[in-house]
Amino acid sequence: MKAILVTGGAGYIGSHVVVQLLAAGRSLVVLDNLSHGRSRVFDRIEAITRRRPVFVKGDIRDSQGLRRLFAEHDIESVIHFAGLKAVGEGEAMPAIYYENNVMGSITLFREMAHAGVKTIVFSSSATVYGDPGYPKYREDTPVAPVNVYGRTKLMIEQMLQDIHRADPAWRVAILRYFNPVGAHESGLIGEDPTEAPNNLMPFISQVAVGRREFLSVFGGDYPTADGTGRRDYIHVEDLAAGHLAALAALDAQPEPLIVNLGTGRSTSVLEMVEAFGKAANKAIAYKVVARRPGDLAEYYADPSKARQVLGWQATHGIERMCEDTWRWQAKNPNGY
Amino acid sequence: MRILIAGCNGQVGFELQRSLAVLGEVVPMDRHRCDLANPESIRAALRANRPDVVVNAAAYTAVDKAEQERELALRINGEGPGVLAEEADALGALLVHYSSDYVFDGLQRTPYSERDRTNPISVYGESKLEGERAVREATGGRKLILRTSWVYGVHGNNFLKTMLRLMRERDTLRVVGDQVGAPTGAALIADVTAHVLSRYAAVHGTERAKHFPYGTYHLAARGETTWYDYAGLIGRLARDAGVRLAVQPERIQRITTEDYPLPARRPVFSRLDTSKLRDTFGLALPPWEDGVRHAVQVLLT
Repeated sequence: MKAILVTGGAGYIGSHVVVQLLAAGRSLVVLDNLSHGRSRVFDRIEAITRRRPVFVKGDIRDSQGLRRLFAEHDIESVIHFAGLKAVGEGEAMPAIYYENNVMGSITLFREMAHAGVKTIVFSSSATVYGDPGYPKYREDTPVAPVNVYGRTKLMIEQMLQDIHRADPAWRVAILRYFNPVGAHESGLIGEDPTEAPNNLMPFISQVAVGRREFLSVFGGDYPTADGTGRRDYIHVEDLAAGHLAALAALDAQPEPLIVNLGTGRSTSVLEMVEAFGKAANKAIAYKVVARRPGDLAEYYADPSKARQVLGWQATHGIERMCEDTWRWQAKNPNGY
Repeated sequence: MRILIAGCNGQVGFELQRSLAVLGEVVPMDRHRCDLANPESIRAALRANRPDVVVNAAAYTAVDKAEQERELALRINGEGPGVLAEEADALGALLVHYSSDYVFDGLQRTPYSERDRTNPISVYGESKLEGERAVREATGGRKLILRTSWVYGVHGNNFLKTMLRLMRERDTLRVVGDQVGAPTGAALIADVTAHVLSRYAAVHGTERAKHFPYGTYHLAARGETTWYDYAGLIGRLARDAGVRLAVQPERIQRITTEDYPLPARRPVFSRLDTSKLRDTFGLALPPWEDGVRHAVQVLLT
């Protein structure tokens, strides 16, 4: 049976997509270098789905390794999560980011072509939009990333579109994520940052579980209702379902599919803190500090294209995002 | 595919006849048709039948007797598999060969991985290691060596059946409690073999067969226990099934290896790390208790 290759499948979003694919009866091969993902996630995935994917420990930058993988396994399509994603880290070490994200993707696409595998779903990000001057982003909103990470994502999007132009047999879906949060309802898998979290939700949950003293809220003077930044938080289970919908839609899509995956609503930092406090039944200590340079006041997705083209929309709200995150964190105070 | 099973009437061979049936044509061979102690018998069996896959479930398994029958043990467990491998190689057939945790000395405290150093401490262990070596040397590459441990089955003699009998007959029982391992069912071994061979079947005869993940894999049920705790579970399962026991599982006495000297030395720590098998073939291995529960149920009905 042909299998789907999931690069970065041991990571946060990857592992949730793996669970949904296994539950849908798909045959999978996961490739991950475990630089951030943990192999223990597969035991958890097995506990949830009663299935275990084939796992190959390896790096997308390793062309020989990829060649062997495509020779050994009959792959029909690729979902490509592998890469580095910490915005601050990207600014500090751009070459590492270009090497991992861009060069790694080049190698992957080359080996895919060599193996005759031309169907791909790529993890992109709303950071490719930059600062268009308005908060509701459509897929045709101009792309102008303002950081290294966003630039690597845009470059990969552009590479895929150029590859498609040169060889229209390729089927390409580019999914631009807004702010993924939450965890599988079992509490067995979730976001497990290796160092200090870069994203709001894991920071809040680490404060709630006693791993951090307080949350720093970067900026209380934005032009928003409560002064704190507003983002489009989307439950990782909804995001994962979007990937399955994209895979299904790809066959009928001769042109590259570029789709926002978001809820269409925005939530402020303080609103999230309050919602999490309710879910965890404890007060979350926070301190409002200076803005982080480059952060925008507000942005969120226009999700209508996803609804039209994928027949998909997000269904989980903020309360559910907080409950599921809290369950994961409380059951796994130190992650995996 | 045509699959030849050597040792078809042994614990594992018996289960293989069932589990491999769905993969194609199974040719079961017992000692009369294919005698691992006799190279000519092996060569004739393979040349006459021309299988696509050879599964070697035949072995000399009398661990203590091996200490006195070294030459025979080495012939059956050491040379025999090498001849099988040569003949399989000549046919372009895949050879699946079962080895044992007894190739290790048991001095490690973390589960043994496939790359850990072997160092058998018994003649049986040496003979199994010799078999692995002969298989690796003889073939051009198409082989799977599955190292397993503490095998029991519903067919044939083993610790599980012995305990069921002794608990009904004797009023005291002393069981060693300082050796650690994972009892692995012959049925599980046969099912894993079928799963692996089903993936092989998808590429047999094509270019892809070159890239199949041949090699050595550890195969054992999940978790670990001691013979003493294993006996306790067997007793409780039998009692729950209504069997009248002469010795209650709670009254089994726990002894050390030294209290029960046997001709052959056993490894004290026998856990096998099975992550290579699970990751490579996308397999879940169930907890050891599940297989024991199932076997006891089958044996008591």
